Amino acid sequence: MTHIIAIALCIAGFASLCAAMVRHQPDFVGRKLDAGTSRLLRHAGFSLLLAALAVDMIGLGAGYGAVAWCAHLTLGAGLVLFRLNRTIARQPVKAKPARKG
Amino acid sequence: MASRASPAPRYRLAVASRVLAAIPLNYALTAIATALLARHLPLSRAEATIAATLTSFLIFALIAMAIFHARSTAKVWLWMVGSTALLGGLLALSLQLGGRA
Amino acid sequence: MKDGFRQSMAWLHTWTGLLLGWLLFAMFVTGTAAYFQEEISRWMKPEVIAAPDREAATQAAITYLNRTQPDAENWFISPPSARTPTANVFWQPRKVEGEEPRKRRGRRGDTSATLDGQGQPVTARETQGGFFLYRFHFDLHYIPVHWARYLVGVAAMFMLIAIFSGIVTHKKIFADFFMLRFGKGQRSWLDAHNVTAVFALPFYLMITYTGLVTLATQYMPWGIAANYSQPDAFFEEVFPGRAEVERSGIAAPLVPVTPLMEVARQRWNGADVGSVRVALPGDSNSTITLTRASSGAIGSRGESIVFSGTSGDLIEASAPQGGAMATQSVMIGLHAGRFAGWGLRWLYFLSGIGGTIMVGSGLVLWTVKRRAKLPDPAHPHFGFRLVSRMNVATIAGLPAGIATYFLANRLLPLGMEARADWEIHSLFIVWGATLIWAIARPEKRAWVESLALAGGLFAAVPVINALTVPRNGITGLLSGDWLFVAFDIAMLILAVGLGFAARKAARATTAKPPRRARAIKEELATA
Repeated sequence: MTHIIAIALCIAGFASLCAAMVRHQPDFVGRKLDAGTSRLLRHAGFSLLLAALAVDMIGLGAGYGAVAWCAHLTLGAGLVLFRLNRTIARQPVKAKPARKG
Repeated sequence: MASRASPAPRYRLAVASRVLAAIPLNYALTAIATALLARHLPLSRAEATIAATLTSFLIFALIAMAIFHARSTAKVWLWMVGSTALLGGLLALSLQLGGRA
Repeated sequence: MKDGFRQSMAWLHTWTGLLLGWLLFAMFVTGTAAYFQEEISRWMKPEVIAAPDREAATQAAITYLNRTQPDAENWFISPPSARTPTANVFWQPRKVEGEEPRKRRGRRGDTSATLDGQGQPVTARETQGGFFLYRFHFDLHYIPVHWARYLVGVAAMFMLIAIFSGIVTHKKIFADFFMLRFGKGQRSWLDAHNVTAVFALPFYLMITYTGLVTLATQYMPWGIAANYSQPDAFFEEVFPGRAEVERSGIAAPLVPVTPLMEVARQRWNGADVGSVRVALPGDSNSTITLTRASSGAIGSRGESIVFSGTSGDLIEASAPQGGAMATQSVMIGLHAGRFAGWGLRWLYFLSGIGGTIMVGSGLVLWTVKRRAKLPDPAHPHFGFRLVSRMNVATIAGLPAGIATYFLANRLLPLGMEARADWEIHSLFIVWGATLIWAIARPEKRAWVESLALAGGLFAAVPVINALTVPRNGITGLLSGDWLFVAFDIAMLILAVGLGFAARKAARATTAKPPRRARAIKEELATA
């Protein structure tokens, strides 16, 4: 259960970080976000990743939790990257990125 | 720029020379550095031995990278031979003076 | 060499990567499978179903050893655990004056036994099980272990430098992480290589460094040499309870081990005993050393406690580890992953698959990059042919060999002489045959046929298993025998994945290599 919660938090965290990056916003969010929102998303992203660490360390013990967190981070980042790629692949060529990722 | 597939003989010679410095000579230097650390780290004898051994792979990798990073092949050899001789001398002195062993 | 830095790094990466890539591929495949070595071993010994009580089984094992090996120098007992249903014991025969102590290499059968919860030898088929895959990961096979480990160490050291230099040359690798694309067409091999390389980079860094650390005293013995006249002096200082005990010659019975295990558990906050050593059993100077199970904490160097064998008094407990020793213990523990529960074990496994794909796609990339530049693509030069055939033999041949290893376990006659050895030989026979096949056939056909062969062999595993032993995936579903369910599913996923890859390879135009990523991914579900 701890694994699932932590992975979910990592996915949310990396999704926020990705959405906070200006060059990915057209693909990932569908439009450019203003600087304030981006900054908020970036802070939210790091906070979510830290929350995942807290969940892991509380649920699995400090050492074990830290190791598991590294694995969860990898998995979360990989899944977000995969999603982003799928979104881009599904967009019609040269069409404006209009759909929400 | 176009002929990257078949580098010039001089280039190959430089690479071969650096490979020689980065592998056998580097191993000798790392071995000496490890032995020196094992003898002089301010820890107990067993702890210092282990700490030095654990660090040795990092030392080896960093030296190898520095060798390929350096501008001049001649300088690489100068540095490598010089530091091997210096540290080797220190190790010989340290072994002469005795102590840990 | 400023301009040349990237170029020379790339050159180095390409050629050492090629030379060591085949070895690294095999190390990744077997290492990843080894995260499930206990489960593979259980599947390969379907006769064993006991899941006995740890303490009682240990006591029973001592009773067995007392009956059969009363004169031994040492007994070593691994009690059963959640992942191993049996107690595994081995012993060192009594030393004879003036005779070299026998080495533990070679045949283990005459100095070891597998016991059930009642201390009875388990009558199971002779097999090395998952242990062979684990050992192949760093000892290889058919060549002296010492040299194999150097070879493996060289490969690991190269990989460490490749990782470091990769981080240095692509500093923005993490900031650019979301720029990675699973491309299509010509770039797909490069993308597969890059994505798998970056995606699990922390894992590769950890696994490579800690892998070197597991064999550090062989690769870098000079720290010990500088401080100790004998390497053994170092090991005795570091591992108490390893030291030899002097035989008194006075007979004295052993105390029961169960209460000692309880004492140890309490000292270790409930962690289990992972191994028991009885030195000089039956002698009045005998000692019993208990070592914590490596599943109990990340650090693999379990604490140990030495008791007197005749009084049960505590003689010595390992001192708290210093920083360096604890670091080493944690590093080795992280590498072997014995501490990992199911969730983390599967994440380890996934990361290992990532590494396999990274190495496999890198190998294919070498040929992809060069194929377009060949003067005559229909008749490539010898070096190109050699590499492309070695790729087929490694990437498709090793999985085919591992499937054969499982099949041989079920098909070889149970009473066969040197049965366990022949299981292993069969792996290499099929692997070697794939190489010959790959050389004999046109490259594209070689890919298709070898992949199809590997897929077919994996598909055959559940069928042959169902025909030869009473436990299989379907009976497992009904009786809750999840090991057999999972194994059958894993075999089928592998078979489907390899079959899919074979079909892709058949459809690909000759200019393009088959898409291998998926097949590699699946093949590792072996465990």
